[in-house]
Amino acid sequence: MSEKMRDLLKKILAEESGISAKTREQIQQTLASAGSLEEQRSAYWKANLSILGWCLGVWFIAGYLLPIFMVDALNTMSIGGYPLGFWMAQQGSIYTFLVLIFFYAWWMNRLDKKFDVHEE
Amino acid sequence: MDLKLMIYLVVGATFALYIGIAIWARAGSTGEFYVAGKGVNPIANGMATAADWMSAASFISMAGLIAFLGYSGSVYLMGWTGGYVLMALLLAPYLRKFGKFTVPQFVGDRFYSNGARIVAVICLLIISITYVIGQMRGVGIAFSRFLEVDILWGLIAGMSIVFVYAVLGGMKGITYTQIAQYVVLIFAYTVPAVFISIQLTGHFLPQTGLGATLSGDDSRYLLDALDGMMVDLGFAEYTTNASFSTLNMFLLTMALMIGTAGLPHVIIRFFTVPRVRDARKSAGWALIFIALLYTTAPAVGAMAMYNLVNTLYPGGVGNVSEAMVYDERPDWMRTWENTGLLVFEDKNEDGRIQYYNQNNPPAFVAENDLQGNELVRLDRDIMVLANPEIASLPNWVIALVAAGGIAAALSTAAGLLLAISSAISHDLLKGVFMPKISEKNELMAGRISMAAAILLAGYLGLNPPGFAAEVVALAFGLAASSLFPVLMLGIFYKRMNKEGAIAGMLTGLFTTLIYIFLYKGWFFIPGTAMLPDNASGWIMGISPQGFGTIGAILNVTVALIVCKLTAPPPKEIQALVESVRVPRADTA
Repeated sequence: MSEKMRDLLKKILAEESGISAKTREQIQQTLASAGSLEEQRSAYWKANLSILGWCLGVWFIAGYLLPIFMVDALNTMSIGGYPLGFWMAQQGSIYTFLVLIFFYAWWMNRLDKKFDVHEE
Repeated sequence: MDLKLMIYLVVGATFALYIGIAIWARAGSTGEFYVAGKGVNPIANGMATAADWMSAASFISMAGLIAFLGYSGSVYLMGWTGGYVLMALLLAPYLRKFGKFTVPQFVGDRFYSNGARIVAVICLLIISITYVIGQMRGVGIAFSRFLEVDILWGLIAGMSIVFVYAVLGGMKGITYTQIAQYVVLIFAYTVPAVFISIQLTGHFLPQTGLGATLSGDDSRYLLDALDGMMVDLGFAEYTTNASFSTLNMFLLTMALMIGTAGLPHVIIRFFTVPRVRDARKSAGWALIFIALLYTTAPAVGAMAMYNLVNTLYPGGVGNVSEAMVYDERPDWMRTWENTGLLVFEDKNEDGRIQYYNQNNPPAFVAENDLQGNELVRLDRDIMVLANPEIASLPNWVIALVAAGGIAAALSTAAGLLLAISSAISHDLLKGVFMPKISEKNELMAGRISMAAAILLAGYLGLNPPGFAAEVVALAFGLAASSLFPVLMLGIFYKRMNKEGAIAGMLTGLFTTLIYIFLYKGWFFIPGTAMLPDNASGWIMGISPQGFGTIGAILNVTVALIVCKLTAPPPKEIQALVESVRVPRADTA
């Protein structure tokens, strides 16, 4: 929730007498659950770090675990004429990196909207 | 049409295009000069970044390296693409939000210290200048080979072109020229690859052709055939070649990845997009355009090797009595022999050329009384340039490859020169020594330092200190060990202070420099190496090229220890870090 919206809701609570007790309670709950700006920021940053953690995990698996550390085991299988470990090192890792960046961008943009910190 | 005339026409046409674009996109303000006015569409920016990033090394050298290294060559493929993941996830959005012009500027502001800024400028200059020498050298070689002029004239032609569009256009001109250069270089790379893939396997896409069966023999896969060939000649199997130990595979790939993410001329591109969310995606767009070349390169390398061995053994691999007759060698071998990059020596004087691994001689060597491998020298750098000729493709394809190699070298050189000039005019002059300089004078200083950098690079390209391959390792090792860790700590560790950052950068810089110099010679002067440069001489088996990873770890460790022992950064710096972490400015 943005600072502007928070101020607006507080203003409604203070100035509007025509709203029902139930609505008043709902607004108060929304304000309470939204937390302070600082709390929101730290929740946003934590969520950001966890997305980063997942993405870097995939990056490590695609760039190191499969094509370097497990290459011999994977080479016992094949796709077409490619031994699988060799394919992972020379093709698969690159495709994974590509998908990963766009996936990260999509995930982060969603997070920005959820925390209302996205750009206009 | 005559090949030479065709090359003049194609290269001339691309040059006319670059200069036309430069005149159309002249820079008027410092903003346009340094970051193209932040108005570049993310897809266009991705294409320009790809051209900026893919240098003569990617275009000319990489597929040749892979051809000889097989599976081990994967370190370059993964290292130079995986770095974009780190860039997109860990740096690009935050540096864009920070919203300044240069990498040293971020370091200086974040660590509230001109000292940190100057150390960052030094790192940037060492990285960029060593890198640009290689590009100018590439331009010179491409010109002298294809236009058959002296390397000096080739270099002067290349320098003049870069001068016109980089000095006039700044980042804006460079960005639009690089888009054109990308189109030229990707066509030049993929067209011959597609032709060769169709010839060998009937597959249009080289990416699937490499995993397909050979034309005319549906039961035999290309890679199986290649594996068999290499083993018959006493080499390691292509798909399992282990030229590096697993530890070095890991360290090399990691050093190339974090080196990529720490290269200032690439990072600077993410300052040119309009919004934070564009910065995240921009790295992805860049990688799409890079991946087009990088997923083609393994096919180019493997197929070039396959064609080469078949050319050398027309009567079947290992059939030494029917090996290629030296006097009947193809024309491309004759042209490349003139450059000294390809050398034959008929040691047993049978008039034929026998190629095999003399360190692990196959059975036919003793049976036929061979006197040693007769393909004495085959420089890896000629594989891509000679590839269309090896596969007997038409002249216009060869001309296109010439134009592509030159485009790759020029586009990277321009990006590097811009990073150098902005470090001098913006960081040193305006940032530290002459803060009151007017925008007009700063722009002038930027142009003058760019012109000076072009002259210096041209001179060093003409008289290289004799260390072509090593400088690349040095540039990446330094980017990995000095700039990347400090940028990351600056964003992800709020408590990091200037003492820690400076100590970290210096530690990474010097340990990596010293480790490389120990094995390659002090300042690369031949004969001054203090330890033997091979697996048994390396400390704990760590190769100098992979040391950037260790340098980065040392950088972070020292930075954290020093930071714990000194005062935390001021409140406003911690607030700055907070604001960099959130995309929208008005909520900061």
